[in-house]
Amino acid sequence: MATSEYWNRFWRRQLSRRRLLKGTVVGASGLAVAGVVGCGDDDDGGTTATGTGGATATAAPTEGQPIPGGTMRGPLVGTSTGTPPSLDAQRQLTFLAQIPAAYHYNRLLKFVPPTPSEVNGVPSVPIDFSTVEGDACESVPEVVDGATFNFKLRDNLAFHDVAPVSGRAVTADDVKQAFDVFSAESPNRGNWLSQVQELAVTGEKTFSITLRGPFAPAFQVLFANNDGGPWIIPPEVLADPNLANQKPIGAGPFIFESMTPDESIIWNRNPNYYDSPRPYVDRIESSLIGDAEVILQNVKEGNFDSALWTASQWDRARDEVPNGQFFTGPEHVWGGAFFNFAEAPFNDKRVRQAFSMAVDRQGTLSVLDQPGAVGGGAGLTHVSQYDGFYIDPINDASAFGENAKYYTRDIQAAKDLLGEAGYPNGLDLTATSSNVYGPGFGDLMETLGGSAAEAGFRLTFNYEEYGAYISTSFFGALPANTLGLAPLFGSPMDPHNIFFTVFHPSSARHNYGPQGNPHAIPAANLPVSGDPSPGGDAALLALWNEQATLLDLDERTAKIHEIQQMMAESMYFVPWPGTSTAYIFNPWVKGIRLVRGYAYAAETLPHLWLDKS
Amino acid sequence: MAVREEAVILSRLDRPVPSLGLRWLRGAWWFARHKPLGAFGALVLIATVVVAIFSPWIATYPYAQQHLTDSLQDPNSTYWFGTDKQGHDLFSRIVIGSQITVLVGVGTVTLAAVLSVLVGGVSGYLGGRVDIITQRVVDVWVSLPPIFLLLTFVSVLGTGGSGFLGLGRGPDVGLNPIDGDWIWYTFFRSSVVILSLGIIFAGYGSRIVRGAVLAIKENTYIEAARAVGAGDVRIMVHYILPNILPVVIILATINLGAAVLAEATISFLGFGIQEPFPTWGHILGDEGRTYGPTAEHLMWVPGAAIFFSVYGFNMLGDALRDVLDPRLRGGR
Amino acid sequence: MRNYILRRALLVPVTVLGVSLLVSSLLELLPGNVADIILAESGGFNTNLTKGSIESDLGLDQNFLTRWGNWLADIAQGNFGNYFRGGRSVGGELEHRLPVTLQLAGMSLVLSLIIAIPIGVISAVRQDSLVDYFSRSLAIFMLAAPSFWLGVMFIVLVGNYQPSLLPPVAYHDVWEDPWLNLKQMWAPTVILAFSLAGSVMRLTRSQMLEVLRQDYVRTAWSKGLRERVVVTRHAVRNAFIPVLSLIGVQINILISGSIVLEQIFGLPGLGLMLINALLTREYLAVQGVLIVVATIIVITNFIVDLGYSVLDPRIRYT
Repeated sequence: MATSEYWNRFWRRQLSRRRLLKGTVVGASGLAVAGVVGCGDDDDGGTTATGTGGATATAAPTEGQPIPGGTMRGPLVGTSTGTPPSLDAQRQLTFLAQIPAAYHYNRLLKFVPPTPSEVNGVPSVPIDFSTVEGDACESVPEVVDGATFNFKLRDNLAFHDVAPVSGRAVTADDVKQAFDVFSAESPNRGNWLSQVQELAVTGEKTFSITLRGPFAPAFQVLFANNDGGPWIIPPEVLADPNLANQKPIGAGPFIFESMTPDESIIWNRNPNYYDSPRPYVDRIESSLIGDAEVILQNVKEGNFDSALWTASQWDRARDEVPNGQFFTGPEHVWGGAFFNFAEAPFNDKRVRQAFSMAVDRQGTLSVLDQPGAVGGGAGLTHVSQYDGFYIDPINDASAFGENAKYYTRDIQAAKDLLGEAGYPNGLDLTATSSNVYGPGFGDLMETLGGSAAEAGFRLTFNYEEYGAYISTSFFGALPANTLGLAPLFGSPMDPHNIFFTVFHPSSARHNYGPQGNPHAIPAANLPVSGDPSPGGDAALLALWNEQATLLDLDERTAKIHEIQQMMAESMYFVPWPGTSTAYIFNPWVKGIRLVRGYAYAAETLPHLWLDKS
Repeated sequence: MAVREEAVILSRLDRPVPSLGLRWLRGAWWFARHKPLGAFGALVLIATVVVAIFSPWIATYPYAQQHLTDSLQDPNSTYWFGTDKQGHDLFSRIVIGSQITVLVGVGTVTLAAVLSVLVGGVSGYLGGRVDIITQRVVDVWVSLPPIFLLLTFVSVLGTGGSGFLGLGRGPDVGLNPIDGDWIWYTFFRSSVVILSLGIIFAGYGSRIVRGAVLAIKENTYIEAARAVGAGDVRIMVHYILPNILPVVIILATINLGAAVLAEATISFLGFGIQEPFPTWGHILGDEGRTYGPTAEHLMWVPGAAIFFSVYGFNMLGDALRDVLDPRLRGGR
Repeated sequence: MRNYILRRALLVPVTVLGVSLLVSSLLELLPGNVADIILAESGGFNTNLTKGSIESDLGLDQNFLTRWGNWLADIAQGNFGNYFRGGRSVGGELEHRLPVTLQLAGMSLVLSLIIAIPIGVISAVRQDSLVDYFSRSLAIFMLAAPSFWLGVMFIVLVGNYQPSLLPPVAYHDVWEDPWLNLKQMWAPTVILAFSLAGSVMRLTRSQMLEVLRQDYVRTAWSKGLRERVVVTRHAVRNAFIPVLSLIGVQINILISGSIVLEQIFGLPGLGLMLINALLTREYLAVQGVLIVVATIIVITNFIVDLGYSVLDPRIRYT
């Protein structure tokens, strides 16, 4: 069967790569593979997994027996920390609402940690979302006919013991109601709407999801999505805005206690978590203060157990916290310059190409990427976070082909293109962004934007209020002579996230003008002839749509390579060279197993324990 | 400000007016000899103005030019004040940033002085119901902290991109990019801040002007003028205005430091003129706060620039006040 | 005298009413339709938020004066409205944050007086001595050094050289844990007091100089009283009265100063609330902060004026 064969080969590739690296994790992947293949033709020799999803998690055996208890402290999102305007993760786009969601809510599936490699003496965690395991569901779903997924919720999955749900079991009906709200109201519902045909409840604990057709990244993008849902939220909470916004209750590893704006969010251990005795720590106190110096000093003084850190201050943190456990990895937040194609000058492809050739990607990395975890910088092309799908236009220009030149800095060529487009004296532009992303991203935007000045792109920055930004500029509602320059996707799990959510005109959210329309454009109306935006690019649209339906991994990879080469030429968006990411843990934090993306609280935190002896 | 202070200013105002030009010339010499600190302040002001006007030619690099290979350099012979994370030359940024200091400082006190004279003068001269209503409005105005009001105004009007009414960017920048660094363009960039601060400071200023007008109104020469048939406007312009001029000058110089500090404060908080245009407050609040721990010059240099200009302006204001009105000493 | 107090007292509500009018008219300043802006800024996905609901929250469906009246009536009942995003109560937020700002301002005020008054007095008594020059330079420095510079210097230098002195991150309420609260508050308090002390010091000095030249002080000297007695019994008491009036001005500076220090030190006070409300365009929260701050300032000024008129018998108000 095509579907399971695709997944089969996909997992096996991951497995063989990993087998070389570390024995213990093979066990984890192996079981997950069993979970997948258990429902298809079982040629891998694995056993059908039932209810073992949680048990697959492995703490490194060298660290001894976990010690329960203690309070875990740290900033909520490192230097990008701020006070969430709302905690309603089903209806709010902002990362400040999505990241806390994984503390108290569940997804259907979650990701299994990849094995870190080593970069400059520290573990580097790859962006690898290839392996999933059950979260709310007891295992990876059974796949029927390539498009129907049969899920079964865990028997011991219960909502927190807090009124009005008071610890009742989670049912398939709850899931359906939560997902209905998601598909009706979430700004992130685009993929769901376009792929999911039906969610049918088949029993108290069982339900099935039928897709409209083959969809290669279904697990990553639909069922284990950690950036934007769907989250399993009790209908009682969804119906009451006060609860959804301010007092979330779910079935996740931690029970929400309180949020004090500009101070902290506090969670307590969920004693009835399905993966008991996890989580080990009793209490989480997440600081809402994002000041880098304050964070670093508190890690140094031991007031914070851990912190997400910033690549441009990596060396300093290494000096200040010599005993710290450091992790790095390519930055998973993807972004760059985005445009309104209805306005000059970026309606002209040559101006976009010139901008891409004007920015100094290598120089930016040399200044801001101290861990140097990723050589070329994640996000260098439109899909570079994903090893398997990525072709490198800079270090491997010949493989990339002719269009690699659009990623190579060439001031003269940029000036020539600008001249051809009718701007021989350069352009005075406004670069719009928001002020919530913290100094790390701020430096990235300013350094990259500023480096284009040499070719005649004179940028003035305009940091908008986040609310104003996220609802207008973020959707590409930019006036003439203005470009957006910002992170665009916090936690893309598959190239499809970028092709679809960021670019595709049918996405409920896409980051280009003209109208900043949060609602999808009907696919039937596309493409429009003469439209300079991706919506008018029939060839590219077809490729974007096609790649998701290819269940043969090699075929899909080839298609994605082709897309990268095409997008280098059209430059609908100019990707920035993402720096590395950085995590610091104090030495007494044990059981660290990092998964990238927004669901730290579901995939990493329950496994952590504190050994302060 | 306190009732008392007004009363004190007023008592000094019933002096006859000597020939202005002569008094100023003699005064300047006397001032330099007797008020060395004040003269130093005047020098700081003049120097800042000169630097601001000629800043594009004084700066050793374009303020937005990055030198990515020279990130976070300590002060040295190439980069006199060192560089920031992107390798911007801090000296050039401080020099160009002085434009904001001068424009916001001088612009604010000028606007505030004009508005103070208008509001305070009319309110004090006409008296009666107009005065009562105006004073209640001023009461309201001064009961909100200036920074709170300023932040609110600036964030409502906006300082980024093309800003309020499209003023932010100014007229089209010419062929030579350096034209865009000229103080004239910076004036447009800072217009929102100047407008907001000027209106805010005018509330405080109008109080003092009103007090001065009230005192002068009682003088016999005003009555004499009225007796010979001079109209209200004529009296205000020809008899009252020259007499309140010293008060206005004191007010303006005293507020100069306060205006610079207020602009630096909101820029520090990120509400001021936006990147990459350098303002001292923003350099301190952004680069200084983030990279100060590893490159302390990013904290020392912009801080010292703000400190010395405010210090100089305050000294000048104090000295002028001592000279023009010695009894006001230390009233602030 | 009684008339003066009565009239002065009447001005308090009049001014507060005026402030509320000014604050609610801030919305009118905004370009475009506020409800449209808020709706757009909420992401356009929140079905709980419609143009109609925002308009009725803000009272935009009514005319300006009615809206103002309703807002005032709500505030009088302690209802400051809710945040558009997240629906938190603005009143609850103010209640939580007001004590932080008041504590910071109060502690700084007391500390600045403790530092400034003795130095100012000594400086005047020993006019033109080394002490005098030193204290005058200090005052000048205090006046010109921006508190945000001092704050950044503190964090950076203390962080670099003596990190154990740095305040803990999580804010602790003074009633809950006074020691941790103090560890957190002392640095911003000292910095804020420092910027205040300059003006208090200068005023104390000049007032002392004036008082020391008065006849009754000369009489006290001629009676052969010791210097300490002359200064403390006769001079300081009288010189202090104008200094008191300065406090009325100071409260304004204190609250202005707290906004930066709260931001630098991450103290959850009114200043930080205002900054965040402005950043997220939560207009009801902005209005709430402004009206509360203005009320505090108006009332403080009233009390200071009262104290002033009671303490200084020379002043006769008519």
